[in-house]
Amino acid sequence: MSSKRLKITILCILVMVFIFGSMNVWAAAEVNQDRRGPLAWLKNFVKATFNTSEPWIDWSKSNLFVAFFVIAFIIIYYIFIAQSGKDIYIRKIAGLAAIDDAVGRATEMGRPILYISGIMDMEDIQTLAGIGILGHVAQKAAEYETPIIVPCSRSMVMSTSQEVVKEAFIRVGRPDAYDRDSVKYITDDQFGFAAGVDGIMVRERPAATFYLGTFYAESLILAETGHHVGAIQIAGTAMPSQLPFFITACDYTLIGEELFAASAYISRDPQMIGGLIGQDMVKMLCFVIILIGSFCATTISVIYKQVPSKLVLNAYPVELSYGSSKMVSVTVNESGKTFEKNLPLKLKFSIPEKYNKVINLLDSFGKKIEPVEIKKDFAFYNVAIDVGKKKSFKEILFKVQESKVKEAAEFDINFQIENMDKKDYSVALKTKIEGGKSRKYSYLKSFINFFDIKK
Amino acid sequence: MKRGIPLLIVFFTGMIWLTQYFIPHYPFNKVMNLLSDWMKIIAAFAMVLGILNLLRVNFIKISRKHYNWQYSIILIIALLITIGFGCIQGITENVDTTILVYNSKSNEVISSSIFVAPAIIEGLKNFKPISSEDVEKDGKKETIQKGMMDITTKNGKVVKYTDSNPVKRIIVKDDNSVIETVIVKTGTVGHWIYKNLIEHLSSTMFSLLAFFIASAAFRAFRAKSFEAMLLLGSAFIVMLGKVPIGDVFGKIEIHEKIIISFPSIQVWLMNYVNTAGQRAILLGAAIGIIAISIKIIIGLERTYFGGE
Repeated sequence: MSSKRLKITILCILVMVFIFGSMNVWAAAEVNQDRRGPLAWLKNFVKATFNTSEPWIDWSKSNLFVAFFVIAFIIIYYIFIAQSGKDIYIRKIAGLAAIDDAVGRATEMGRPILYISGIMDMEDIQTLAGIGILGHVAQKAAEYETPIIVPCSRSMVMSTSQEVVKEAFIRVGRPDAYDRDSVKYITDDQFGFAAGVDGIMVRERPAATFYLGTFYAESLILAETGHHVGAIQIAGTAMPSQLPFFITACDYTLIGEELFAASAYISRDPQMIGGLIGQDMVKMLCFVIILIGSFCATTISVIYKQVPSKLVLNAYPVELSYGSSKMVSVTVNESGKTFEKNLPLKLKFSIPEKYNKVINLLDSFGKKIEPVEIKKDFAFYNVAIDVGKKKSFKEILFKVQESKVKEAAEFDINFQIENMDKKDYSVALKTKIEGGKSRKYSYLKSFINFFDIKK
Repeated sequence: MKRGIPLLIVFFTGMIWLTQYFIPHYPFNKVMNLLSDWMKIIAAFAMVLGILNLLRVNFIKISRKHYNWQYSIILIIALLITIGFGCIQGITENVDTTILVYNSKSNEVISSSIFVAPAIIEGLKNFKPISSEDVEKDGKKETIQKGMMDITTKNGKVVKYTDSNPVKRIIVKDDNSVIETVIVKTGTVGHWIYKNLIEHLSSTMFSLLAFFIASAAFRAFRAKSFEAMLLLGSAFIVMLGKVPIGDVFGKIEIHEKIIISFPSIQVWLMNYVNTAGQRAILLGAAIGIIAISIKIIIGLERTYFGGE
C-alpha cells in the first residue's frame, strides 16, 4: 500500500471513530442508558434509531419540502438542458463585465487591487459567492502582475482566500508572484475591520476596490473611503439595507441574486449557466404565483367585503391601574379553530368630558390624541390600530396629569371597535384615578388584544 | 483525489444538513449540533492562524520599517495585553475583588488594592447595610454584610456602590482583633478594555457614518437625470414626513376621511413602494441562495476551492 493511500485510510478510520464515538454519546443520551462498551453502544443506537415515540417526518414542514423539491427540480432540469449543448442566452451584468476593466485600470495606474469578501464567516453563502469571484479577480491580477490585497474579517475566510488566491496564481503559471501576506486577517470586530481597511485604502490608494459579500453598517464607511481615494468600485451584496449605500458610492453594484450568478457568468460553463436559467425560471414562477395570489386576495376581499362575518367581543373588562399593564386577552375562533387574526381596526373610545382636561391620551408612538368630538358630557377619541399576527396587541398610553386631579375618581372608558364590516362593538373598561398625588405624571397602560370571531 | 474527497464531504454534509431539517428523529436531530460544534472547533484553530498572520504581517512591517510601522508595535502590544489578560482572568463583568483587609481594632491595614486604603476606611464610616447574616467558619464567627457606600479613588473620583451593586463586608471578631474584609464587584481587565476602549472606538467609527451619509447623499441627490430627480423628490418627502414640521403644512383634505400630508405620503412610500422593492430583492436573493446551495451540494459550484 502506498504511503498516500495509507494516510487516507488512517484519516478515514479516525473520522469514522470520531463520528461513531459521537453517535454513541448521543444514543446513550437519547435512551438514557449506560454508554460503556461497543455492544451497549450498538444496543443504544438501535434503540434510539427505532424509537417510535418520536416522529420521523416533520409534516409541518411539508410545504417547504414541496417548494424546495420544485425549485431544485427546475434548476437541475435546466442544468441538464444546458448540458445537452443548447445555446443559452444570459443577460449582461454590467458589474461583472467591469471586473476586467477595473483590474486593467489598476495595472495601468500601477496601484493595487483591494478585495473584501464581506465581514461574515464561511457559513454565509454570500461570503462563498464573494470568494468565488475572488478567484477570478486574483487570476486577472496575476495575469497583469498587479498586486492584490485581501483583508479578511474572519480567520476561516482568510485561510480559504489564501488558498483561492494561491490557486489563481498557480493557474496562470506565476506561483512565484503569489505573496502570502497579501491575504491578511484584520479583526473580527465590525468597526475595527472598517477602520483597518480604511487605513489600508488611505495608505495603499488602491485603483480598484471590490466589496462582494455580506456587509452591514460598515458598507458606506468602506465605499466612501474608496470613493475618496479615487478607486473604481464594484460592490455586490444581498443585504437590502446596504444596497442603497453601495449604489450611491460605487461605480457598479451587483444587486441580490446577481452576486450569486457571478460564478456562472464568469466561468461561462454551460452547466453553471443552465443553473442560472433555472434560477430565473423559479423567479418567474414566484412572480406568477404572487400575481395570482394578489388577484385572488383582492377579488375575495371585494366580493366578500367582510372577512369575518360576525365579530363577538370576548374582552374581559380590565381595570386600568397605576403602573400596571394588563391584557385583555382574546382569541379568534373561526370554524372551530383558534388562531390570531390580523385585522386593521379602528378604535373609538369615550371618556367623561370633565376628565378630558386632566387626562392626556397618548398613542403607541407617544403622540397626543385629540378628541374628535365632545358631546353629551363625553369626549370621543379615534385611534387606528393594526393588530399584527404575532404582536396582537397595541399599547395605548394614558398620561394623567395628576396635579390637576384633586380627588380620586373612577369612571368607565368606553371602547368601540369598528371592524372591517363597519359594525361597532363596545366594551367598557373601568378606570381609576388617584387624586392629590405629588407626582407630576402617571401612566395608565392598556394593552388591547381582542376578539373572538365566530362565523 | 485532491478535489474528490472535499466534494464528497460537501455533498454528504449538505445532504445531512438538509435531511435533518425535515427529519427530526435520531440520529439526524443530533447532526446539526455536532456539525455546529465541529465548525466552532475549526474556527478556533483558524483563529490561531489569523492571529499568527496578523503577527507575521506586522512583524515584517516593523522589521522592514514600512510606512507607519510604529502603529504595528502598538497593535502587537495591545494584542498581547488583551490576549494575556483574557487568558488569565477571562472577560467576565462581575468578579469579587478584595479591596481592603483591615484590623479595625488596632487601626491597621493588612492589605489593600485598587483604591486608597484611607478612603475605604473613611467610606466604611458611612456604610449603610442592606442585609446582614452571621455564619460560622473554621470555628470563628463571621458577620457578612452587604450594603451601600461611597469610595473616593486616587484621582478624587467618587465610586458609588448602591443596592444594585453592593459592597460585601466580612467582619471576623476575636479577643485581639476585628478583621474587616471589604469586597466589591469589579470587571476583569479584559472587560475593562472592552468596555472602555473597544466599545468607544467602535462608536467613533460608527459615528463617522453620519458624515459619510451626508457626502454620499450629496452625490446621490444631484438631479442629473429623471431617476435622480425621482430619488431626490421621494427623499425630500420622506425626510419631511419624518420630522414634526412636515405635519404642520402641506395638508390637502380630499375627503372627510382622506387627508394627504407629508407623513401619510411618507408612510405610503415606505410601506408600499420601498417594501415592495426590498421584498423583490430578498426574493431574488433567496432563490439565488437556494440555487447556489444546490450547485454546491451537487458539486457544480467549485469556485470556493480556488478553481474556475
